[in-house]
Amino acid sequence: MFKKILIANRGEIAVRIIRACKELGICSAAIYSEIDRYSLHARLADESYFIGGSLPAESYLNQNKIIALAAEINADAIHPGYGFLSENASFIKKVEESGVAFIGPSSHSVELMGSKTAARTLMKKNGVPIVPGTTEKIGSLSEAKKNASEIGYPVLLKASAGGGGKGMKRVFSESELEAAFSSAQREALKAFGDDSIYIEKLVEHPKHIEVQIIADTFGNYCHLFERECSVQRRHQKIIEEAPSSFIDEETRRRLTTAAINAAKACNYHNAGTIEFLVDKNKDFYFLEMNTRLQVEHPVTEFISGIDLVKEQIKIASGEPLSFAQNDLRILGHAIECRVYAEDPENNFLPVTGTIAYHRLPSGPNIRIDRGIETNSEISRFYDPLLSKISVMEKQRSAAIKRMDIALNDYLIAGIKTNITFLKRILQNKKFQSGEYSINLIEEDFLSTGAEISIPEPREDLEDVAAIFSAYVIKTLGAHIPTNGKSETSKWMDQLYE
Amino acid sequence: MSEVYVTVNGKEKVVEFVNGDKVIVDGKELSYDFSKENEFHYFLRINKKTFDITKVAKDKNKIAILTEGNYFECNVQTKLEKNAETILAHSEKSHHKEDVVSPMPGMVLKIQKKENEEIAIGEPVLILEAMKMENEVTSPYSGLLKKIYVQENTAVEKGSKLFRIE
Repeated sequence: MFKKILIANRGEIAVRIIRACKELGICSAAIYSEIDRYSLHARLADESYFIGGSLPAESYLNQNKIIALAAEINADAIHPGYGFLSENASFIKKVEESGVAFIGPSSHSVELMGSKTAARTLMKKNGVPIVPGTTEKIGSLSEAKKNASEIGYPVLLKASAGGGGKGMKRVFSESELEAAFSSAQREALKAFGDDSIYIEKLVEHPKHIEVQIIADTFGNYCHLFERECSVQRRHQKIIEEAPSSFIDEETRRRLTTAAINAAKACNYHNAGTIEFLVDKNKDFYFLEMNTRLQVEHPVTEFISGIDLVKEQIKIASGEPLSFAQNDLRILGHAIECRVYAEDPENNFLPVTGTIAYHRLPSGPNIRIDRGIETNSEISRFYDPLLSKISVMEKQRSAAIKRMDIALNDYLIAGIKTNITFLKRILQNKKFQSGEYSINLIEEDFLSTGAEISIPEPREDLEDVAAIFSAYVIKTLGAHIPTNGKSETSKWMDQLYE
Repeated sequence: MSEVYVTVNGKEKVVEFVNGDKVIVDGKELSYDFSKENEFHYFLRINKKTFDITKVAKDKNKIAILTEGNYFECNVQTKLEKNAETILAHSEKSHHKEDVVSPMPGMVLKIQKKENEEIAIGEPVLILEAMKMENEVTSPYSGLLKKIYVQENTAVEKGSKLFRIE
């Protein structure tokens, strides 16, 4: 087993990996940028190292510095988390060549799956269904026009090197193509350093369902069931759950078999996710493979009882999987909500500032993954994800209720978040019935006349808000009794008597 | 004590504190008790039920709070302030003359309109990049795009002037 792991990431996922290291008795080494000097991950790790400026390119994306540091501190392995360098095949190759283990798949698998066009070709060859569209990258606008009209509008422009919704644009007619094409190219270049774009048919009203797989280096492949991540805005996931209430046993069998075939096709080892679009007839199409740990892995850990990060570490150190497919059962229904620093009332623009106060929800089967706490600064340098709340219950409806209550108990000041928006989704009738597609947010929350989704106003809370603001601003704001503080000092005095 | 006018997410309520433990909200009398845990976390007991309230942000007469997972933006005015505002509103012209400022720090990627173009409400004016995503900044009003204060490929801070609509 490894003795020391360098964690090449920040925020909640770095914290998650540090915890797994501690539980396995492995020394954890964090890296931090200028602004993250005293971030939670830098403080929780057994060792932490300054890596560079606050810009990702100077710190968390600085490949040579990270690899040199791993050698200098005698780390046996590097865990990349998600985002940053996690799916960068040339980085992984450099790590492999440096003699340090990479906690993830081989650079070869990542390269095969990293180019979305090459992955589509590979899947097609291995009998995994793909969405109709180009398997080659599109070099020019005129080529894009030709391909789009052949495939038939509506189409989807996607970054060949992409993921996370960056560089992805929906186009409903040729008149929108030019602007969308250049915007997709720009976003792709910024996010991935590669402006290759390809075109797919837009599958209408699909669900986004993905299969978690894991494989060791001895050729053992297992799936850990599916996750449904159809609640998305601009292809960014907001709420994820496992299992999907839409999937029956027969579809699950076909879907997970296709996922394992996809993993085998690229000689995959370690944890990975195969994403599918599933249409209303339960036909599914390969979307892409994420060759890393996913943001939403907690829901799978809940329903499978498997600690994915610990398994990842064990696999990378040369151990076989600690379980077999037949050992796994779906243990319940889990839901995750992503709490973002953003303003839903102002076009979901990211919000920056300092977390003035932070109190987490608690209770049975409530899990929080976070990299922030009171006084953390939310800067423009990194992703606006603040924390993830995950819950599990036996039934989906009970899990939704538990999540709603957990969100009620989450207090956060100084930064506006999407908490109220998350609650509105949980209260949405289509969401509750399970009959919704990846267009739910757009159709029920963002389009004009989408009032159906506005829940009954809570008059008691409106009164509370009115009384509170009137009190604080206009009356006795300066003289609010502070709870218990004077008693505390008296009690302290007594100790010395 | 005199009446206070509070708009709660745009909905007006009249609040009046009487004695030390009673409050009247839109004619309803409630008993209340108030306690401060810290600068951002308060307890408000209304009749028998206690609410945890987070003060998210405060600016002069405006306050944003979070309670039971619900955000409220409140604006508080005395009778006098409210009257003054009504008079001011009537004296102003009906159309806006306003600078639109950047909602966040970022980079101006592309300017899609030219100065002196007629522009409709909701029309995109420029693309702002922040946190690796492109965000369209749209015009909050219809009118003439009088001035563009920024250039492409320059960084802007939160609150910097972007353009002016008249």
